[in-house]
Amino acid sequence: MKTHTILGGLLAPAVLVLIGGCSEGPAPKAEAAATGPDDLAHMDLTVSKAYGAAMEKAGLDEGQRNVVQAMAHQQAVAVICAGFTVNKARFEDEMNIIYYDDKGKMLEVDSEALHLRERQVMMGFGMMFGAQLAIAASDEQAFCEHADVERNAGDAKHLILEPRKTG
Amino acid sequence: MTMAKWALAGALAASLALPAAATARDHHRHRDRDRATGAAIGLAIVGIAAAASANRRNRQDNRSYYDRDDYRGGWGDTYNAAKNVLCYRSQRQCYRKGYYSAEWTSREFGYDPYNRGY
Repeated sequence: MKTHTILGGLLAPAVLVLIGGCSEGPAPKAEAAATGPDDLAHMDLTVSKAYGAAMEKAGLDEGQRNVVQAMAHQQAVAVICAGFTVNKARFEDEMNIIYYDDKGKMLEVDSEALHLRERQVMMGFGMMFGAQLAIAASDEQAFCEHADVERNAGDAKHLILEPRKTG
Repeated sequence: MTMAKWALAGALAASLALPAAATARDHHRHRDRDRATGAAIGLAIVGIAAAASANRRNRQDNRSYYDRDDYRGGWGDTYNAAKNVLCYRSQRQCYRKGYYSAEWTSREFGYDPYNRGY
């Protein structure tokens, strides 16, 4: 079995469960005082710091951690924002990065170590995915407007969101 | 902390057990008691230091990446990479209007997991 299909296969049901959990009904409108950009960034930074420490412990380097974080962010966008879809093949291809070392060479580890790495990455993915859902809840419209700008950035790396449909 | 308390209690007990009065004929006996008191206080100090050190070591060993003290602000230096884009230098992450920006994080902090040139 090709390694790049393993994580995609593992993550797909997890993402579906999360999507299912999110689609039980419309999210209640936030009634608290408006959350400013600094607060939103600090919320994300707080989770990012825990995520970074956990993933570093799992052996992921900075590039790998950033890719997984970018994937979690875009999957959350696809769940929350209408008209956004993820290219599944590109998502699996991007997540494939966790099977390589920092020299770009495929990891030579036994299946037990590989499964441990996948579980750790899934945990990290879930952390960042959850953080994005929570942050988006404060102002979904602003969150989706930001996502639209990111989606249309021509030189953006690790973009898995499908381009906006025209017409 | 328990070890420190026991060591301190031992030192206090040793000092309270000493008689208040002293006479010339008891000189030798007192000298022995003074030595015993000095030893007890010395042991207590060593015990307290050992307990404090063990406590500190235990706290460090038990720290995880979820310890709250690590996540109370202090995000360090920031700069505007573009209009509405704020980057946190030490965290190596950028945000547009408060939302995580993979685009600007990548652009500013230049990682490339495929070329491994960061």
